[in-house]
Amino acid sequence: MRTPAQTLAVLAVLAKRVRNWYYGYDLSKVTGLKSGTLYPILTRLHDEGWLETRWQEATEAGRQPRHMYRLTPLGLSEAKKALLAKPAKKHNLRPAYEN
Amino acid sequence: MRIDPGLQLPARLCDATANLLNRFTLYCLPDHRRLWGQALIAECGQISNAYDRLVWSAGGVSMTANEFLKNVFGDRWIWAVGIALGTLSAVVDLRSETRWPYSILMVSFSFALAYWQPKWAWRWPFTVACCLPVVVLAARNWGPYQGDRFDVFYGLLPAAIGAVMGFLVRRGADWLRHKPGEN
Repeated sequence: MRTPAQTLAVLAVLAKRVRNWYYGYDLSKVTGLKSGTLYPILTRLHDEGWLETRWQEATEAGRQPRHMYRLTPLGLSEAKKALLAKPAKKHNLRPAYEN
Repeated sequence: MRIDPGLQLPARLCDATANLLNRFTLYCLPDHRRLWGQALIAECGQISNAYDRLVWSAGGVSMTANEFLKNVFGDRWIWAVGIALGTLSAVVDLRSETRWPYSILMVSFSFALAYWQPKWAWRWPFTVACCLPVVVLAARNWGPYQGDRFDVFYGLLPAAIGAVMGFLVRRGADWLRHKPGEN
């Protein structure tokens, strides 16, 4: 799979703590990617079998369940290869939103 | 790109617009991507700034557009074959005395493409029929269309008929292959 810089930025974050589940908004804040860029990347990684997902039930009333993401073993090995070949650019790793 | 903090919009207006965009996203995303749309929308609840929520929701529309373009231009092989067949038909049309050969080719090629890929079959009549105007423009030779230049699009009608036929035949064939109640 082709891994452009923005995908590498997402992979770099997900590969940092492999056991952790990440929310889309958190990934967006860390990578600096807007939702319209981030979610197509996540869907592509999921289609390729690099990403596993799960829904987390809402902890507060009135809130919707949240989707969480982490790398699969295949995703981790491919991410390592991709990041070794072309490390994620540092300037990508900045917050996209104010809060 | 950072969001311009100087842009002050009323929170209620932002939320109403975001709500509308979210509905649009859920409505327009294809079935297999709808959960991803819900995932994106669910994150809105975590964003405290109304303008940021609006920007986040606009991302859903962008994702929808992305999916749409991927669906439309995804079948690269069929596009390539369609353009090749359309160009061949255009050359035949410019060299023939009557319109029948081109019309027959339009029906046949659109039929074949729509049968091959019935999903969003409306794409194929446009693909094959728009090759003639492109060829005419590229060659800078309007030939028989010098008088009425819009006439160059006449292939759209037979191509549309061919595509509808191809789509229906394919659907019928699929239905016969997997008749309801049969496993």
